[in-house]
Amino acid sequence: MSLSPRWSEFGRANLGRIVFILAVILILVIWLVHVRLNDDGIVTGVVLTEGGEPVAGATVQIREQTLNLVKEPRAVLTDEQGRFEFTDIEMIDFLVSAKLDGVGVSERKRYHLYFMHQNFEVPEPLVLKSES
Amino acid sequence: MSKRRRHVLTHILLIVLCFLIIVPIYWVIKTSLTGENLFNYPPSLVPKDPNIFYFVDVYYWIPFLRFFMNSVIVSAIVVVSNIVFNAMAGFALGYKFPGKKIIILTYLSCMMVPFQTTIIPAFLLTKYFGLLNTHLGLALPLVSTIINIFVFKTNFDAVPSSLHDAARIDGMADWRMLFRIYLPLARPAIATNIILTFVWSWNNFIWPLIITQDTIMRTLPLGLARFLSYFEDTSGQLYAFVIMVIAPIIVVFLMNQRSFISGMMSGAVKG
Repeated sequence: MSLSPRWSEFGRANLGRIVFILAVILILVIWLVHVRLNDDGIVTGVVLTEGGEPVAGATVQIREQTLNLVKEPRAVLTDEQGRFEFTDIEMIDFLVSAKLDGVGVSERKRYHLYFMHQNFEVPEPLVLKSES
Repeated sequence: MSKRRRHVLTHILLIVLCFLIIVPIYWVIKTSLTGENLFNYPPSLVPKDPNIFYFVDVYYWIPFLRFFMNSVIVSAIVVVSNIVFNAMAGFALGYKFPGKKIIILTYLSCMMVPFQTTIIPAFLLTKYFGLLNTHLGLALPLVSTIINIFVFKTNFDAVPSSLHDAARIDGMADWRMLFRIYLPLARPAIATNIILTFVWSWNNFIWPLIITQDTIMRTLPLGLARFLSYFEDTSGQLYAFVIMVIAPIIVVFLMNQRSFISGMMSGAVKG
């Protein structure tokens, strides 16, 4: 089956435009599929001591970096492997820190996401350092 | 001065001119990716640690998608209505009829009246039709533009009259003649209409400011003004927003530039 001469002439004259529009649509579809597969709003990570041991029971705090300064931070405790998990996170720019009385506090780390509700694994462990 | 030396000098001048035009655009793109302050010293030409997070901020800090869709809908109404109405007007002006000169003179004199002086009657008319705070109301002042009527007229004047006569002998109605014969031959005029009206509609600020009361009905230029109230003018977010506002205009222009230039040229020589 071949295209009519009119359509093939249109295709030749507008090949660049057609390729551009198709490429934009393809990129958009890939991006939307990626977003759909990774939009549970789960932020995970691990808390360690300076010696590299996982810390159980540490309080991990997540605070949105926003123009609205009155937003309350959220906090969770780490499990026996030192892992923490926040669910339903609606932030794109936030600070994460951890602390455990008697062990120490970690430095605050700032992360930025590419879209709202993005699943995110904090790339570096939060290392607790004694405050003294 | 030899021909070769003149040639070299011309090219040097053109390169300098290109550089002067490109540098500010490059600077806006660089700042949108790095957030580097405009007044950093020494200024860095190469972006350090570029990222797209400023674009993400813009998307979430204001209802960007809503403003964008409003701009797209209004521009689409403006572009389509301009092609249809201007082509019809340009086609009609190709005929000889009593009062044609007066109509053309009226059009030309209306072009000299600035929009600001007609804002109040335009607002009252829009209110009378119940179109305040609607997409159609936002598009209304630009649904037909005089300069583009003349772009169509000059293009239609270049169509051989034998084509018109043949269609008439075959019993073709005027509207079919326009849409089946004249419009397919006036691609440069259509491209000129698309680009000019899209840019005017996309950049329109004062009219949307006057007739929109709800935030959700605002267009991108109003969003930009709102954004300015949040951030100082050197922030990466602001520059990212500027890129997001002008990108569609650049895409529309690049996709139609060849026809646009030939449309402008044909209008220039056939007046």
